Amino acid sequence: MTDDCLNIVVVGVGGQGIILVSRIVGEASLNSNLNVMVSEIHGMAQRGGKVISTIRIGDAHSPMIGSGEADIILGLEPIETYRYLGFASEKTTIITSTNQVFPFTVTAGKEEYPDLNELFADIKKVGKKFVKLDIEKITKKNGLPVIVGNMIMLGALSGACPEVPISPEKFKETIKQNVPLRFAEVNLKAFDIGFKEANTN
Amino acid sequence: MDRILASEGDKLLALGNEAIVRGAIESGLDVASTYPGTPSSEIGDILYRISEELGIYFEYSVNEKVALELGIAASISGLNALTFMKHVGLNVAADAFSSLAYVGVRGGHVIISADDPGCHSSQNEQDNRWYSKLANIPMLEPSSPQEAKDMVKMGFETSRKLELPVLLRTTTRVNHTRAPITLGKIKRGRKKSKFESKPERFMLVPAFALINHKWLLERMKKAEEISEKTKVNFIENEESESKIGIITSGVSYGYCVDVLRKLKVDAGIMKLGMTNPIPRKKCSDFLKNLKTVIILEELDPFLEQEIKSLAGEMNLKVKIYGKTGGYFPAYGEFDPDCVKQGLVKILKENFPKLKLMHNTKKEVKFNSISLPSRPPVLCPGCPHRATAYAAKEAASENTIFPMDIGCYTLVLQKPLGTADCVLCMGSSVGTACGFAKATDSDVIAFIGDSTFFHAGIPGLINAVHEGHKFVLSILDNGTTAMTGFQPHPGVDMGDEGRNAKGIDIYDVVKGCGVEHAKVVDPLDLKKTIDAFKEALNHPTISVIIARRPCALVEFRVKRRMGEKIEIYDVDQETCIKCYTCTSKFGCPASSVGKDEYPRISPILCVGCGVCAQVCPTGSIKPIKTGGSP
Repeated sequence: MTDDCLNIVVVGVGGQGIILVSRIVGEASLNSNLNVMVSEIHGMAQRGGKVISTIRIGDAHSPMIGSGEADIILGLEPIETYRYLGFASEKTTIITSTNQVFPFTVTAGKEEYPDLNELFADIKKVGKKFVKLDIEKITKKNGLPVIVGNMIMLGALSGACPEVPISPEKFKETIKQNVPLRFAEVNLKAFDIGFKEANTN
Repeated sequence: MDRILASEGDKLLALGNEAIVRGAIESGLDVASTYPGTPSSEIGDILYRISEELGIYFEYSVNEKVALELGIAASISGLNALTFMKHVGLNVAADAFSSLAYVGVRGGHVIISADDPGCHSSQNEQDNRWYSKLANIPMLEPSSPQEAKDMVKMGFETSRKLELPVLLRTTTRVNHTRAPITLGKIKRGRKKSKFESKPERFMLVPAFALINHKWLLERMKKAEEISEKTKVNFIENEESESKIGIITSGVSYGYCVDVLRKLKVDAGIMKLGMTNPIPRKKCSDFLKNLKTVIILEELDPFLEQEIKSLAGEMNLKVKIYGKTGGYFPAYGEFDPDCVKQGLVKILKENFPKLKLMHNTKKEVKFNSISLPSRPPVLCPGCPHRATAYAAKEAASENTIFPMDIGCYTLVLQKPLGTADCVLCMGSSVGTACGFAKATDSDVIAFIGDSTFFHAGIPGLINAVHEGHKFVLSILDNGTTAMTGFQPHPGVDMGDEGRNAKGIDIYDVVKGCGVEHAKVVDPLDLKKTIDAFKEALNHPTISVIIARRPCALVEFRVKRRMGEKIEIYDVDQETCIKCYTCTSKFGCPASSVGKDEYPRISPILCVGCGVCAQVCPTGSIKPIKTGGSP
């Protein structure tokens, strides 16, 4: 840990379920009798803009994380992972989805989406561990809806980062408490698959 | 059961706004009112759900001024009132707010101003702490959800004790931070009380007002006594002999503790939770023993000015650092980095020998790739996009588009770009009056339905009365979408079992004296373009009401009802690659594929069909099978 807390940054695009991921990490911390603070940004987030949420587990007095002080960056979209690399240091674990969500500026032809391999090569230079997940491929292979991509990523966080002081069982118990009952099974399956993928990655 | 009603003694991972609600319902809240605005909106969303069950009266008022006046009447009748709004909402309520303390309260009245440093979702980042000085209203500033809850309770107690309202000033990072809170006992609300007439107190005619002002200043002396004793104004590490002290409030306190710990700096910290009036004696005792004092606060040098003036009065030799020397920014949000940077600079200047434990990290070389920006956009199927497209089609090159506050502000982005000026709620109508007089341009103004009720009507009356010629386009999507789908006076709440009758905007417009008014469905593009053309040719003001439910709401309803959604795709046989759909209309569901043909994302398309209407060759067609997930 970079300080008294475990610092996690979750980034992505509005609509990907980032707030739910960070909320579950927060609730799971509380369920594990750990102190926690989580920051969220509401409002414009719903309209396809970039979204960031920060989580600090431990004796935190604010949910905000300084440059280079993230222990984990969980990115649900490649350029958003890259955009927030300022939070990373040589001690950071970086987990990213490889699936692009094109910003409107790109689909309208005004800006270009950078080459993924170049992005990943650059991300690899930062941090101690780099985990990539092809969410589209994983969901297809396992017959899951794309919408549970966020739970696959949460599973990957749990699988790739032994320093997270929350057991996979606690995560799953918390997922059950936080999603509608009829979607619990598919979300739990997504978590398990993400957990496994991160370990074999 | 709603999670906010969890049992006494439990711990809840609560958003700051949830903590505020819990604090209020543990204080015996009776009446609550608001106009929705980020970052305060969730307070209303929760109260809307639970008020009935707890015997609390809650309403989304037409605007913040009315919300506050409703709360004032409740509190001078002896009930406990909560009125909450975003920071700029307090400008709307400022007329009532500024005189409120002259009459004082009888029940408790807590007023929340949710400030937005960093302009996450606002047109400015004004520091509303000044309002507490302006209006002589005691103020509390929490730095975490637990404190927000505790301070709401303290606010009600203090308000009743002083017979003054209390301002709780939060910031986005308090409202939208989740942290554990400990729950206390919920008290049910009372909906009725009895008003006792006391004209010399509640009638602010000049003769009474002057006397009340004197009474108010005496009350603020009492408030200062509370400020001296309250445990929300506390000193940490008082025994420090370092001669370094920090005075801080709000979220800056959290950054301060985290950063000092990292730097391993020994300093006394004075945390002020009650920042108007400040505890002058406590502060001067703290200052007396110090050589260097650093004031950590977001936005304006509010505490800095108070502390400097106090040190001057006391003739203290202590050096005081803050914004005025440029050590900390006076704009934008604070974060751990800027707090650390400022602290290190001041400490190095004052104590060159002091050891600071800041581990300068190895500079990692990356960041060579430039990334595309990702601004928020109007949703696929949003009726506002269709209205703006129609207006642009009908308008001449020489047209000014005054704009208002809401999702539709996003038409600013290319390819539409039909947005020229926005200041505040309702400003589209007032500025349209001015543009019509000051220029020879055509003027097409846009205002949302909720915003029209909130602050647009006086401007419209002015336009009719003064004969200003422009087109006012009222975007009636049946909800307050940007802040999370709250109802407004145009929404009939009958089927939710509430006693709120929907008011038809057309009737209001006609009632204001507008002769030429038309209701259109913006998803019928041709009719909407024709309506704009006709309106532009009309010799006086004309109003177009573009009526269509918010796409997010409509899609959600359709999905719930299991209704099939007919989505669209591009027929490459007939497509001529003119790109009208992608580069002129610009729905985020459409893009250009590697084969250079436009395509429509089956995941994003909600089947509004407007792109099919903009296509000159009829190549965009509904797909027979499928449907959005």
